[in-house]
Amino acid sequence: MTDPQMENEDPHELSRREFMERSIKAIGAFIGITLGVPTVGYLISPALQQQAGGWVRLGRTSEVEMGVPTLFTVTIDKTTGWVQSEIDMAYFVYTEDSVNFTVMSNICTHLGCRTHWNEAGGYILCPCHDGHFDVQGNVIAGPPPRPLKRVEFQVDANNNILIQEA
Amino acid sequence: MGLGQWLNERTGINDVYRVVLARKIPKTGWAYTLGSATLFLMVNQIVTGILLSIYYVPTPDHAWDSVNYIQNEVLFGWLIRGLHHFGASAMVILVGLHMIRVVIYGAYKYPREVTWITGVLLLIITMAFGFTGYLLPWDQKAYWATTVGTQFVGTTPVVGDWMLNVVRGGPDLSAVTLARFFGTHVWVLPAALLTVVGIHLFLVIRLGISNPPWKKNQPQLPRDETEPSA
Repeated sequence: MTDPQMENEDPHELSRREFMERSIKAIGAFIGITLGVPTVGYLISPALQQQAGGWVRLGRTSEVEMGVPTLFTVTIDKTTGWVQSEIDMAYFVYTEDSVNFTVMSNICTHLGCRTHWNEAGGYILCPCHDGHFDVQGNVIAGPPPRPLKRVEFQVDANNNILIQEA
Repeated sequence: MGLGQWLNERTGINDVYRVVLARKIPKTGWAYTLGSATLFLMVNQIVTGILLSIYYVPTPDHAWDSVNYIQNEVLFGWLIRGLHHFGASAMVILVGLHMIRVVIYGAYKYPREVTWITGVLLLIITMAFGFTGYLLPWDQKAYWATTVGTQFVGTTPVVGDWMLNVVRGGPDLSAVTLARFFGTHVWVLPAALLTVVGIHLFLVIRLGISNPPWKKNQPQLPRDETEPSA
């Protein structure tokens, strides 16, 4: 790429042309890095932002049917980007003794469809790919790889079931 | 060198490098770098503009909020938007200086008239970029600047009102105005810019750059020297 006529006689000495070529490459690399790093940060930024949610009321313990996963829906305020919106989330609450409760998301662990309780069959069904879960959310049949996700909850003094906003 | 040779054998990339980047030019001065500087800023505007479009939404209920989100919430959003914002001003200034250099040095003369004409088109395209981009943040300054700027169109005799309606997409500034300014800014103008820049640069390389006026008596570089020899 370098013209032989432009080379210096001393092969060890940096020629003007070589100096310029190296300078251009160095400056180019500097600009590339100083812009490339912020660009990556800029693009992945939404994935880095986390929202700390408060506790929301799901329902009363007395509303939970004994031995049947009972679906509760709750509206959660969510800020996505610059848009504030209300999102409906649904959770199964399950109890066998009205003392110990299990709260789990109704989002299927396969590919994120919403599951529901199938009264006749006695299982939780995901309609998308025929995934079956038992009353505790364990997989009985179909493609789901994991049990339904358990959700952290607390029961307050007035017997309200509270869950943490996700 | 294996890959380079493989590629060169099939594409002639080394000749392209020699003709485009390692071409010989007369001894000139810093004034001759203004075109390259403008080109550099153009690349900056394209890259940062594409990045802004990742978050920006061109509707009245989202435009300002999305820009505010870029500026204050997105990591390095202030930097990307700042580069686009100030790069735009710098580009208008550099395009002007570049043109003044060409005028003073008489570089528009034969055989470079077509280079000059495409350059004037690029000046107009750059100004159109600035005008349409100014509205996009949809803040008070943008809104009223575009109100005034489009009002000029309305003063055209006979067809003024009709043209104003075309530019605004209605009698007043609205969602339609914002959408068409956005579409113009990110699709129409870039397509025009890249086409005309392509012609402009092809001519610069084909014709070589002009000698400075104080070297009038020196012969220009023979055309052969810029031709690929292999």
